[in-house]
Amino acid sequence: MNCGQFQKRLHEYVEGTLSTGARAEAERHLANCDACRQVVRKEQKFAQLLAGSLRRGTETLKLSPEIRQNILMAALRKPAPPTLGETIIGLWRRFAWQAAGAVCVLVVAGLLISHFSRPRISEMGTVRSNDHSRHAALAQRPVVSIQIAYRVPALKFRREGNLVVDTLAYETVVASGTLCPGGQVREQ
Amino acid sequence: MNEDQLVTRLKGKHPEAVQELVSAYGDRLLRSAFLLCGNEAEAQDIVQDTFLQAMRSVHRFRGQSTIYTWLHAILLNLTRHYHRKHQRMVYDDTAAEREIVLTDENPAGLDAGAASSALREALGQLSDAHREVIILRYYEDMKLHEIASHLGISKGTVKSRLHHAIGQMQKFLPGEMNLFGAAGTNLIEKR
Repeated sequence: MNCGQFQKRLHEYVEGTLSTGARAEAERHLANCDACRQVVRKEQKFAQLLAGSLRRGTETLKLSPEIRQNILMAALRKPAPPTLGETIIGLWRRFAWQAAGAVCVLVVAGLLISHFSRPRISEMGTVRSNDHSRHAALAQRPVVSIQIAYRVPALKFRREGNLVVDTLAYETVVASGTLCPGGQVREQ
Repeated sequence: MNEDQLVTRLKGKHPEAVQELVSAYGDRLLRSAFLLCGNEAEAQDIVQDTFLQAMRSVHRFRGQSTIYTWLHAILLNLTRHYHRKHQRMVYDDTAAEREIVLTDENPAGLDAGAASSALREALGQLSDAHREVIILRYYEDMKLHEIASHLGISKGTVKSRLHHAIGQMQKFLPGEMNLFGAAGTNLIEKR
């Protein structure tokens, strides 16, 4: 081990975390190297001085009673009920995977149903032609055509000598018209 | 009450567990926060926020570290947030008045107050990342692998930051306090 290798491991040597073999190697180097022994001593002195200075410089610091009180009050306080947003976020975090699974199942089911309920190709032509003729008929037809036939009784009288003879006959009356949009009836 | 029992009771929202937690670690965390941010009032607030956040997230604590290390990790994040807002660390006046009197350990028979002031001033001049490793190494007395785990960086990066931080501090220290001296600094540079 040379000086550079030793000084790379200086902190581990000082804190005592070198492996047994590495420590023995370091000790052998130190036994023959005055410069590295001096570095070790100075590092130890620096650590001692700095640690002592920092400890004594802060040892009078105490957590203030107000801060202690604040912390204890916070511990005693019941947590505030979650807001609507927090509730929604909480539910989402809790049920997001289940919801995603349910949506996937529904989508697949919907696709399957739409696939199997669709008319076959051979039927599609018929359906289309029927639809076409029906639309054409509807376009030509008047809105509503009405024709009413009814019989009206007619009583007729005639004289035969000293007798009056009555005859009951029925006359047929035919009425036709068109029921227009809006409920108006146009007579023809 | 041992750590496991304390954590169990904290998870059960027992107020006396919180009280015990604050009693056990409040002052220690405050001192670390003060060294990290340099301002006592801010350090008090950071420690308060640390405990509040710890109470909220205690259910995530798995016991893979000590309670103090877990609390300190929260504190470190909050301190970084504080630094992002304030950019630079400036020690407050009360800190200067609290300077300590070094005695026997003073290696060069330096003026004790001056030595401490110089060290703290040098610490305040470091970048946040460099100051963190110095405090964790020399104040919290963590080992390199513990610092690496605590900061989420590699051990090599910890060593590199320590190396640069010590070099920087030496530059800010007066000559008689520069333990490595001119030759020593050169040795550090070569590490």
